[in-house]
Amino acid sequence: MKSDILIAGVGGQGIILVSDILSNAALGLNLNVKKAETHGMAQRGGSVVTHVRLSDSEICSPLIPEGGVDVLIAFEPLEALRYLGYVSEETFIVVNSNPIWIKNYPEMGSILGVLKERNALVVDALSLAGQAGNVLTQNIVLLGASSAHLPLKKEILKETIKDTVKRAVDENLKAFQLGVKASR
Amino acid sequence: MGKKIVLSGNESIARGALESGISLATGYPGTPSTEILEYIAAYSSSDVHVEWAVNEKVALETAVGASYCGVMALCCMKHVGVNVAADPLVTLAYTGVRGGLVLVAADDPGMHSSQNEQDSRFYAGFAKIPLLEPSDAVEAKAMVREAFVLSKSTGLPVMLRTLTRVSHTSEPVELGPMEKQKTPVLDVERREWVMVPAYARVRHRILNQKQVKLLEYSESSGFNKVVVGANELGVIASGVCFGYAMEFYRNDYSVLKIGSYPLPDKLLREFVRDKKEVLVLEEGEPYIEDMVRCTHHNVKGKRTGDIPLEGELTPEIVSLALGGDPVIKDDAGIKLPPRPPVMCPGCPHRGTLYALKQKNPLIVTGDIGCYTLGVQKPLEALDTCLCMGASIGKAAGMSHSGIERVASVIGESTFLHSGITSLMSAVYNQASILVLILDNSTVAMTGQQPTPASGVDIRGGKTRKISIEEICRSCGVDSVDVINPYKIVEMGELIEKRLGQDGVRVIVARAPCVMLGGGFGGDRFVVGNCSACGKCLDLGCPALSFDEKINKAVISNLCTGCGVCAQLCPFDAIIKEDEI
Repeated sequence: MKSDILIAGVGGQGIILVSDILSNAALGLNLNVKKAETHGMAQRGGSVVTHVRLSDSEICSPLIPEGGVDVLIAFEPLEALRYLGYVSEETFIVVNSNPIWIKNYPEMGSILGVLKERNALVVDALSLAGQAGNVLTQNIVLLGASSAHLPLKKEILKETIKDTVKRAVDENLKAFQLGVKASR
Repeated sequence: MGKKIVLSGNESIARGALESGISLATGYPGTPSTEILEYIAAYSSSDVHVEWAVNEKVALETAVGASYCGVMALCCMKHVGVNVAADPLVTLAYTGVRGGLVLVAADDPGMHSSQNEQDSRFYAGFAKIPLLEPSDAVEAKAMVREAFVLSKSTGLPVMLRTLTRVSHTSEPVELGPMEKQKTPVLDVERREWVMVPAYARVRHRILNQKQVKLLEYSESSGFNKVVVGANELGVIASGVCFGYAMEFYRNDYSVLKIGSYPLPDKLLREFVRDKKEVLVLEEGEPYIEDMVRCTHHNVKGKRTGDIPLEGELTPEIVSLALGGDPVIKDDAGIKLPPRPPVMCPGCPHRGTLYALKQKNPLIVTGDIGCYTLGVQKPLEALDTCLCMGASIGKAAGMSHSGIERVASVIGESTFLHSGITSLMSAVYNQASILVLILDNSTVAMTGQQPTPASGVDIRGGKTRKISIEEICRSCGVDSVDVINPYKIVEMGELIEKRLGQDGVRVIVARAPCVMLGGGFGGDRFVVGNCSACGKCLDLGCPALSFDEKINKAVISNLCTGCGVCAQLCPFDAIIKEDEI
């Protein structure tokens, strides 16, 4: 078993928290984990990406080779496109439909058009996070929406969310559940 | 077996140092090294003295002091920090150390957050000290533990070279027991510690004599190891590149992993002897490659163009160099605008840089910090950035060359790090410059570490607070003003007044970093009756954009309520949300 998960978005969206939940959950199952993060300057509203590799055998490279991603979790539509090079026909893509605007942002219809040609699930994480009671839980909504394609059982992910998030545990669990529901 | 937890390379280095029984840990924040000391501050008892030093030179000297007392000391910095610490480092190899001393140098190939991609291995070779280079977080902990043993046994500081991809990659790491700290013993030996020429000559010879032992250590070190596969191609890989080499390994080549320096000459020769071709994979300069070239006729690497000389290696580069097929990129045919890092919404620097630019200084010399991002459009507010503290020296040089209306911009932590000396020099040599010190009470870019001017230490405890304006006054500058950078009109008037005067003039623009969470009283701003002049967009605030469909500026929910744009709007159209 191996699962290569790429999480892309914009600095400040809570990518590192999701990668922490994934790696802590995998550790609990005695899986091997490598998680390569973006820190420092890029966090200032720049494009960021985290590679999470889970496997029951040895993992060598911290970075997922291009074309090898099993699950792409994109916190932002444009950032999903930026990492299409890592995606294959088999990759399952979860993408937040809510953009973070920058100058010369491509037309949203064309972005979603490209993603829909692939194995992509578009989720309105902002409104679901709002339903969960905290708009900052968009990251957990997206985790929930991708969970059917992860090698980690939902119950284990929920337990790990409880252990990993420091604040608003109930809202985060609700956000996870709403994400799961959106993927059905 | 010990408990396993997920640790980044940096956290693993910190854990390894704590398990070794260090008594002191010091350094200066800098990506990708910062989390090492933060972990120690969070997870060590008060028996360990942990601190942010004012700069890397001071950090290393502090570590040397501890080591001279026979206790173990860890010193952490990013690669360019080693330049600052290079003065004590090179002569420290002469005096040697007593308690183990490990210097962590975190290299940043690809310059994710740096101004250059220098290779710290040259420093270890230059100073003639051992260097260990981990390939992942698990090995990083093992190497730190071994580095302290090696430092103690050789009497030399040991450098640990880590890389962004090693420092910031996490994996399960097994925790070991904590060793006891050493008891400090002061056993003064002036002939070892006072580097006057007569004593230094002897110590230089002793350092050279130690080199044989260092080489012997590397030849037999378990950190250099061979993975035996097919014999035609030999791959030599160090650091994270070992992971890339093994990612594609199907017994179709042999791999020599290098983790211990000085380079093991015999081991390298033996490995390449029966190979038809050798490929060297390393981050930074062709350091190993140049040595292997002396022993084999068919070496591929950075010198042959098979591996790029600049930037960070990736699995794709390594795969191609190993003869793999190129990955055909699926870009979907849409042009993607880049999303570079920017100053945060509500950042106090934005108002300062905007006000400065409006007053047309002939040149603005910049420095290292978040404000360096002000070089980007639309602010384009600074014209130079070289290294920590360089803004003031460069400004003085321009002033002495006859240029007027010279301004420099420097953060308060950078000023304390290495700007004070240049300020003194500018005053002493009668330069005519305006120095803007942007005091946001923190080292913001690396993640809000405290500074000597914030009155808080690395563990969050209260400590003495150093006054920036008192320092400037005591240096003898002609004027010191302190101003709130969110008041951009007053700021502009002050800058105009001081730019036109002679002498060294300092303006301290003081307001806490918006990431420290002080806030502006809650209310966000919104755009009312917009005249579509676009002036507010000159600030480059990520919360502000122009919606062509409705032909007006809009403010997103990223707004912090700092109100700088509202002051700028000529039509008073930007108002508080509750004033609608």
